[in-house]
Amino acid sequence: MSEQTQGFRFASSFQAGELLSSVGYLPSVEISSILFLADRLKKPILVEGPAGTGKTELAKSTAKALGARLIRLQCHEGIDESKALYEWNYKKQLLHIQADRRSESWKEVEANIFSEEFLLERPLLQAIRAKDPVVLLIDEVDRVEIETEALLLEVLSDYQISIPELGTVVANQIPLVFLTSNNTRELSEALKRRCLFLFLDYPDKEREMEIVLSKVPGVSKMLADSIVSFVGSLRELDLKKRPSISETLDWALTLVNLGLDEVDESVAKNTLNVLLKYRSDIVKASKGILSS
Amino acid sequence: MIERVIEFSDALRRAKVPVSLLESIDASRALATADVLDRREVKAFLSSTLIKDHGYQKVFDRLFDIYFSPSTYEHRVDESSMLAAEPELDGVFEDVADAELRDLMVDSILRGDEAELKSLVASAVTKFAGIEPGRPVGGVYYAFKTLRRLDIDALRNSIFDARIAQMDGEDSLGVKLLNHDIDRILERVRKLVDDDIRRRIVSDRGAEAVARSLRATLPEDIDFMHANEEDLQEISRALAPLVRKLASRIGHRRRKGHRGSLDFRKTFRRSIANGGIPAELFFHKPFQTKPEIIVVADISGSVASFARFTLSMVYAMSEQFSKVRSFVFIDEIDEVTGIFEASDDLAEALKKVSARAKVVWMDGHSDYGRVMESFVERWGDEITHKSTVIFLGDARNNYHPSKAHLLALVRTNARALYWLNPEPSAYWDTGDSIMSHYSVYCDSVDECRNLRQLQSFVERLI
Repeated sequence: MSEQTQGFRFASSFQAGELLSSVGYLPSVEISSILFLADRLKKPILVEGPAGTGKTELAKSTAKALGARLIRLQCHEGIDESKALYEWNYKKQLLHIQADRRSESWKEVEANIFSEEFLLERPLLQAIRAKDPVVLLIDEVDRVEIETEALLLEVLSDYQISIPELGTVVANQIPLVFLTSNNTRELSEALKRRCLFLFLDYPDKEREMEIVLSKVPGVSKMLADSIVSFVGSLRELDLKKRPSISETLDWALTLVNLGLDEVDESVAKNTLNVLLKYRSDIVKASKGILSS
Repeated sequence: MIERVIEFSDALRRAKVPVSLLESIDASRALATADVLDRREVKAFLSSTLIKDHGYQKVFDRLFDIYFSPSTYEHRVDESSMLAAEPELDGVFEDVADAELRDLMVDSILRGDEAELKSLVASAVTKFAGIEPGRPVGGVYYAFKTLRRLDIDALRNSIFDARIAQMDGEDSLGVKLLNHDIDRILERVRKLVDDDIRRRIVSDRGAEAVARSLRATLPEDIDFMHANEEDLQEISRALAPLVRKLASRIGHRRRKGHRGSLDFRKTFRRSIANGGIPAELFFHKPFQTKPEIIVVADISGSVASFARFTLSMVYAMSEQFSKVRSFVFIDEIDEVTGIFEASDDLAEALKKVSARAKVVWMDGHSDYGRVMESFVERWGDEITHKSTVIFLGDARNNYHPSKAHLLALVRTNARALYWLNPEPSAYWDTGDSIMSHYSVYCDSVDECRNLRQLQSFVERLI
């Protein structure tokens, strides 16, 4: 098989982490270890965690770091094989039959209309047949119905797709696969068994500070420190929607643009709406942290 | 290393974490590529191959610390790679006085010297915990003793004073954040103490024995009636994601369950594009009926937390019902629907319920009979064929009359009548429990001792 000649993408966890950092994604030890492992074991990574902790971003950054093409399948309810795997272009088939009615016998027509010419590639088939390096992202996999999940299994464990009229399409290369889930429902055991599991939680203080310092130009260390502590204490409250990393960054940017180098009470109060998106959360935060 | 993985997978299974054979094979394959000196990498590899649900992470962490605790871990690594472990720092600080030990600790925390802090903690454990080898006690007792002698409050004050001196202006938000930060640091110290004690117990009694004594229950399985404060917090944290999953499952079932009649117009219109061949069929959306829910909850001491979680779950699911009305009682009943409707925060509303509802008439002991009487008298004619009535309580009536015939009246008017009892079914009808007096009139009576049972009830309800 070709993947043996192709070798591995990463030499070590550390190198995987370095690569990710070089494109601006600061990984924790867990993230880079699991990325390295996914490559070695040729298994997809199932990424779960609260919204806004960088699940999708991880796949995008990996693609960028490897110089690979990102193929994305955005899942939604009602997605089926014609949107995920492949579809026969039946309008074109109809036209073909009508145009060729006199010249060919039915057997020939049948062989013709189920040829590659009439096959529409959808993301999964695309990823499998790609000749250039690709990263496959199956986004929000928890949104598909449990019956549809089964469609993914063949692709994820054997890296092949069976098309009854054409036969089995085997992968040219084994792509790195990321599945993300917001945990709105329990995924099937069969799917979970085939994946490595990575839970992306809110980052710890040190890592979030690094992220702020690297992503927000002009932020001082002291400001970053108070920003991250403040957001951290917000996350401990019982909120409807806890502030995500991107909201921390938005807030940091806001404060820098306002020309501030310290977070005090009035500043926090006036800019809280950057971090919190529900009125009840804002009230709760003002009561919990800001009241003195 | 492979044996260790197999032992570890077994320990996980004993703690009710589902680990398939394939997954433990994957874990072994993963470790073959791991840098065995890097404990965090080993941990990441094992957790990503063995744990597929974040709910099990806590159990995993505890067991990992036992089976791959730094000491046993380094020991194994020594064997395999002949590398020297970190220089042994244990005992270096054992001769210093208590107060001085604390000062040194503060100092190492302020400098962020993790290695020194670790060895200081180790000395503190040696000095304070008084560990007796071979005694089959859990680490909690030793940790308690160590932390008390270490005087965590004094530690807090010293760190606070040192850090506040570094800050230039005294700003109230700054102080709050500082306190928050110190909480985090002290949490870290506690963790180090726990780790150190566990390390000693494990080397004394072996990993398997310690793992067996570990209580590893998922939040969904914690019994409401026996939950302590910490358990309750864990349950409430688990409630929100559970409800979300439940809602999406039910919503999905609703949409998929039965499809409506053929939408001929739309099907025909779309077929024109294919030369009149109806290649795709379209259906009308099915008509939905949503039940009206009436919850009547006993909120007396013994069953209060059960009522709390059930009410939160019902209200969190309120979109699935056309209307939710709630009543609470002890020996008097009061309607609290308004309190829930006025507040968009459940926790807040529950607090108000216990503060404002008039539920005590005489002595504040549950009196189901009196409550039935008053319920039927005041709200009886508002129960219609649309209402599903759910009673929550242990039916322990303190030897008052049951007046069960009134419940029969409720059943006649309502669409359905359910009863949830937080006691194990074996205890029903023992002592002052009169469950069977009422159960004859109910469509079903269910034991509801934990979130899992509660969830399956709500799912059946819809």
